[in-house]
Amino acid sequence: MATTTIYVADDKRGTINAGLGFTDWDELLGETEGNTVTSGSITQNQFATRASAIVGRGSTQYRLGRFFAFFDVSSLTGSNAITNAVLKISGRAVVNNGSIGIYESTAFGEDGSEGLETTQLAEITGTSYSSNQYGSPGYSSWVTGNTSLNSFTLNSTAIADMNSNGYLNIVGRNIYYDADEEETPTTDNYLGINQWTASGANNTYRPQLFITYIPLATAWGDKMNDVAANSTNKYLGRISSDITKINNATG
Amino acid sequence: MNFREQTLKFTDKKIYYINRKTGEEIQVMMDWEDELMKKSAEYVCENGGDILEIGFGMGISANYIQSHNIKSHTIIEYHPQIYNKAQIWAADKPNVNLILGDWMSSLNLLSTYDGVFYDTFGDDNIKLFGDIIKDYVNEGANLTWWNDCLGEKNIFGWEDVTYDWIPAKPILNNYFKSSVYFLPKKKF
Repeated sequence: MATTTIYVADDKRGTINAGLGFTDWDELLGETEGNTVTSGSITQNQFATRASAIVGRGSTQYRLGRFFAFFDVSSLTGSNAITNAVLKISGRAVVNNGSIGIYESTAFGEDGSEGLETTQLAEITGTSYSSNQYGSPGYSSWVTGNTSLNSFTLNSTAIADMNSNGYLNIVGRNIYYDADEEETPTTDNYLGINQWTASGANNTYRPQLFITYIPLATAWGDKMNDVAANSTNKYLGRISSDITKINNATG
Repeated sequence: MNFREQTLKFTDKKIYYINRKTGEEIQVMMDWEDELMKKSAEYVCENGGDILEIGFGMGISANYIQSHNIKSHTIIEYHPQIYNKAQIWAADKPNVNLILGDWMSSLNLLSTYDGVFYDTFGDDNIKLFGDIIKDYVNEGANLTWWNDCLGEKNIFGWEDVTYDWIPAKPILNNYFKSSVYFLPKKKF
């Protein structure tokens, strides 16, 4: 088995923020287009995931933030089988009931052919990619800071998708209010990440995938030229202990 | 933090503050709303008479209300910094009655009105307004409010509200994004 780390590209991660003018949380959850994207050179994504009620002008408005990331793993999957993967993210502050769970996404043109656009807010499937959940209320503690990373062990669905697609396309969502739709938020709930750029000083703390894989040849290592390993001590039906001469040469 | 305790910043274009927790700029009001304020004032002043304005803001609507033929103009302003500016504005306007406070706490100072414009920020009692204001309007009074709903709907649950579609050109802000403002018109 071998391991490698794949970092997310700067234009393949970011948050779509939505909610301007929305006075109904359920309507916002059904919205397909956001207002802004926090991607590109933006490094400190304070509202990576957000599910908030904002008291301001007029009636209460709501805010929704979903964090998207696309990892190209095709350089591995052509000749290897991914057996395990851990998504690692550097955290910023959790406020109130801010949280993050990892789910399947179809943003970035699904296969990474597009950048992140506001129109991709709802390009999510609801399929969970990890049982690790961070934040409040009651999830694992979200570690903040530049050097400590939070780990999401990806499940068999995510591993299978990576092996068949050659990429991992994820969305991070607030668990309680957004993904599970338990109730309407009443406060400003958000969770932040450090999404660093490739050229920045903290580039090694970009969102990353730690992957364990095995070469496909190894996966078939019990056969050579379709001959099962337990048969390779036989030549033309004779077991090797019976062979004392090859081409008349004494063994 | 309560809106009243926020330190506001004033420019010619907007009133805003910085959310201390998030660092976000929160706009309270901006001058791109001018046309919306003008249309709102036209509706509430349609009957003339006594006008109640809840929320002074940048004073845009107040100026338009003053341009109509009205008897009195009562203004309730919650934020002390804005109230101070409203005092200066009102100094040469004898028909203006200025009240510092939130509208719920000021009910005992009110009369009944022929037009009402409700435009508040961070109002914890907004859901009560629809029921309570009924006792403070004259028959036939016109009422409108700042409507951030994206469509012909209202937060008070009134079914007899009509809407004028007003083109809007909001610049970047954190409270309104539509190219149409649905000006609500409620007649009592």
